[in-house]
Amino acid sequence: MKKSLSGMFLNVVCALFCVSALVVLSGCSGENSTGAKKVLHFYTWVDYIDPEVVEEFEERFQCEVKIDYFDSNEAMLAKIKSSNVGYDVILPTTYMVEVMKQEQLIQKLNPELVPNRKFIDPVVAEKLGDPNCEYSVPYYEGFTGLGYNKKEVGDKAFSWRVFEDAALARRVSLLDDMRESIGAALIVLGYDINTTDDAQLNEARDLLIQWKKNIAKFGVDDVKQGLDNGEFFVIHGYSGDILQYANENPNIQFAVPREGAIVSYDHFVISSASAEPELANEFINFMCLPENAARNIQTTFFNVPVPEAQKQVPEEMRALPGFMPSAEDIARAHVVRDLGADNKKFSRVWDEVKAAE
Amino acid sequence: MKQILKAVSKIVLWKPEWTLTIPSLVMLLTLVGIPTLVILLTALRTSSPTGGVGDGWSLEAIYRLGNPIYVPIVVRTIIYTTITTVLCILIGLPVAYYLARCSGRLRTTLLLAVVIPFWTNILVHLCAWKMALHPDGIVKKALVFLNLVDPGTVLLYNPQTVILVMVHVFLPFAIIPLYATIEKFDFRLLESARDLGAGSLQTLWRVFLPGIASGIWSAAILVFVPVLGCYIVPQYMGNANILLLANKIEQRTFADRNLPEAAALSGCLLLAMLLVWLFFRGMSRIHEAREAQKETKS
Repeated sequence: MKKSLSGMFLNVVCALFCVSALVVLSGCSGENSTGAKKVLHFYTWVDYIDPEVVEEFEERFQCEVKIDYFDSNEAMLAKIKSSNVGYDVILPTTYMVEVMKQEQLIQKLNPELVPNRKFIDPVVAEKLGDPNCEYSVPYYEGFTGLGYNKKEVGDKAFSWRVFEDAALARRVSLLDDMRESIGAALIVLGYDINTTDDAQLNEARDLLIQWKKNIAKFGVDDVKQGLDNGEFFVIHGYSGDILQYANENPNIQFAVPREGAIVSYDHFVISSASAEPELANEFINFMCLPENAARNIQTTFFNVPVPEAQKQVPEEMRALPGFMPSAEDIARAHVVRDLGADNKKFSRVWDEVKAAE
Repeated sequence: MKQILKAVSKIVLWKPEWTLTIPSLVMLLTLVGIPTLVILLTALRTSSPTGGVGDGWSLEAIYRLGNPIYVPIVVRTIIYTTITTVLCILIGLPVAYYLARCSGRLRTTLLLAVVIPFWTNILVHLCAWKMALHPDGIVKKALVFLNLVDPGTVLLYNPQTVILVMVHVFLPFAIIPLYATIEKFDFRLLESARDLGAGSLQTLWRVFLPGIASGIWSAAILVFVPVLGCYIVPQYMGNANILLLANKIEQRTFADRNLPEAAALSGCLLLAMLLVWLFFRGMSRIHEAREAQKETKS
């Protein structure tokens, strides 16, 4: 019996070798057929661009866009830092743009090649501290708020304190992200989300521990589905993610809590090691064109700070609650900043929250 | 060229068994040895606030292992791992026994039924369990129908869920070595024990279990070690309180951007696995030696 089992293993190993050899061979032949074309490598989040817009760019510029995905800014940073080759255009969040700039992992945009920067809302560019879009173009705009099941919790003005509601015990979730979750607690307490004051952070920690006792879990991607299929009634999450479900499921809604919320922007940047900087600038320019931005908004359900594009979005979509925040909402919203060495303070608080029972 | 070939053939003839191991030795060194060394060295570097490692050397990451928040995490990790291992062996034993006793095609089919889930990606297992245990899922509905739980019970995100899924995922690691040992066991010993007047419990306790003890210990190693480093099951099936050591290492690497501390924790995990392995292997050797002694005596 043992022999036949090991024989089976051998067969499987042989089969795997054959399959992988085939894959490698077919991969090679595919490469040859497109050999002459320029290739632009784009490193981004999953489901975060309209594929038709990318196809049009490929046709217009006679190139091929290869897209690779990351699931967290930190994972992206780790990969870029360990070998900063291969990618041309990257789409990190504001605080990560700051880190990458500091580490000289990104290069300045070429102002002549990106004239469409003019479409970007100047208020947003100013708020993010790069009014001329020198290094990056702020693109997808996401609020972190609450996704909720209207059927289960009703329609009401939400507070972040919904996590304390004993009636919702074990049916709510907080984001498994230290800056977002500690940030929510800091907002409720009326403090700056980028504070480095230990007393304020400790207060936020105690509030978060109180919330933790009531929640089902900390989660990011898995809880969205849970909201859709009824596992959770209220989740802490990103606007676009929740609005995608809201568009399909009439019970799901997104709300910005009344105390205020965190807004985050993902920016187009060009890697300092880009092999095709010109094409990379053209790509960013193409995405800033209002009609293209409008299509990306409609695909991702994340807003883009291009007022011209927002006007082109169909009325029924604009009417989704939380989809088009008012100028006031944006002005009031908080932006996560990189804290450098003080990030450790947030790590400490997060450790203590996670360890508390 | 000729000279090189001559030299090579000389070495091969001189120590044939050594030259045969060279390819696997080189592979092991480059793919396991060197990366492990890099991790251990990273633990001795300073951390850089932008991620990665800083310039100097420092013992800070090692000192920070004394942080009291690690105590509950380590205790919890050991408890979960031990419970999972014990359950895997308790469930694995009768399965392996049955596998060893049944014959021919049935055995091949059953073995395949054990091995195929073992080849299935762990994420697929997790998704399946999530659907099964969902508040509107089939298991929940069945339990409510049978009046075993009330409709408000949440089956997902409990400590029990994490244990259940870990046992399911790691069970083949217990069944296969147990089966290999039981298959070699001389079942006539059980008959003679009964002939000599032992009851069934006594036969099990004093003849069968000591006879396969080395298999039990090796099954224990094979389950304990991977469960100790298991990260994905508590991540997806656990609640806010079930944070195991591997999840902390993930947080240190990504959210905290503190590679030295992640490396220091990984080093601890590695050390723990090494100790566990030495302990279990020692136990398994002792039992083997005892068996051998008995055989020579008889």
